[in-house]
Amino acid sequence: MPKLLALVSGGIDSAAAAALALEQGLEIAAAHFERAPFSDSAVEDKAKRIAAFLSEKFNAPIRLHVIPHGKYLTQIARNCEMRYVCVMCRRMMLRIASEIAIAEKCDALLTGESLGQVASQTLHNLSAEHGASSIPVARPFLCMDKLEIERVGKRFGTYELSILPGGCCEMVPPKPATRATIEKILAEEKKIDIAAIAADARAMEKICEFGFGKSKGQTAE
Amino acid sequence: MPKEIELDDFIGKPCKSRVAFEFVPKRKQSLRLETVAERLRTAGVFVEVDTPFIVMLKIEGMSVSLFKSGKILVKQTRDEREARGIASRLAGMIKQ
Repeated sequence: MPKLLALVSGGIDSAAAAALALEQGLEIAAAHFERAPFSDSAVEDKAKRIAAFLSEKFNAPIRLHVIPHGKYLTQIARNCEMRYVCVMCRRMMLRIASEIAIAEKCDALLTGESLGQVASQTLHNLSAEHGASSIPVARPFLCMDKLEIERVGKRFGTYELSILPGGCCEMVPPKPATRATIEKILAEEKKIDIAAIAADARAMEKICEFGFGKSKGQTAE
Repeated sequence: MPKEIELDDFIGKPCKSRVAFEFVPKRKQSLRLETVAERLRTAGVFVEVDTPFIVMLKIEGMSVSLFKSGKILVKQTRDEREARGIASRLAGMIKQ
């Protein structure tokens, strides 16, 4: 059975995408990038609650990898053009997630991205993200609007968990780039030590397991 | 529509996370956060993170973010009065 690594932000779209995959009978592992201090711990708690809920609902064991992402965002804010932060942030998530996916024997990544949903989610920006992951990225909601995605979340029961109070990302600039080019992004990435930051983040990763018999809900660090 | 909170130079409202309040300057600003962070440190404020885009502070035990645009975010509170007090104090320190 194909297996996907679902990127779970704690929001509506990624949780609904993961539920959709599980309904199709696919196996999933999950990854959450925690952005402290640029968002509060409630966001990580939401990601854990969503993983636990999906594991129980679909009777599926889910291993959730929680990766610190705040240090990278700080480096971007200190060294790079802030309007590219969203694309650079997603590229790093895809880069690290694809490493985890390979270790988890996943065939592809799964995201809740949808075109135009936020200013930074444009086709140009998605093109600039292309290549950050070494494996394919499945985006089941790419051409769906927010209301359609919310309906999917409500059908599975993830919506109610996703809308619990939890901080927004404070690193989103007032005017994020909407037409990033890969050349510009690669030039920005050269300003910081991407490989070292990714290795640091992996070294500090926490793992929470849900639905693995007695270890359900345990954190393995 | 969230209820707006009026300060002298800011418009405030509850953040959509529902556990924070944001205060946006009425006039467009572009703060030099390196200088501001140094001034706040001198005034005894704990500066947790400082970058040219955002500084993150602790004021009276509360987590506060200050953006280059002058926006102030008072976090982890649902108490409007408390948030307004913190924002006023920070705004005063920035002006000095």
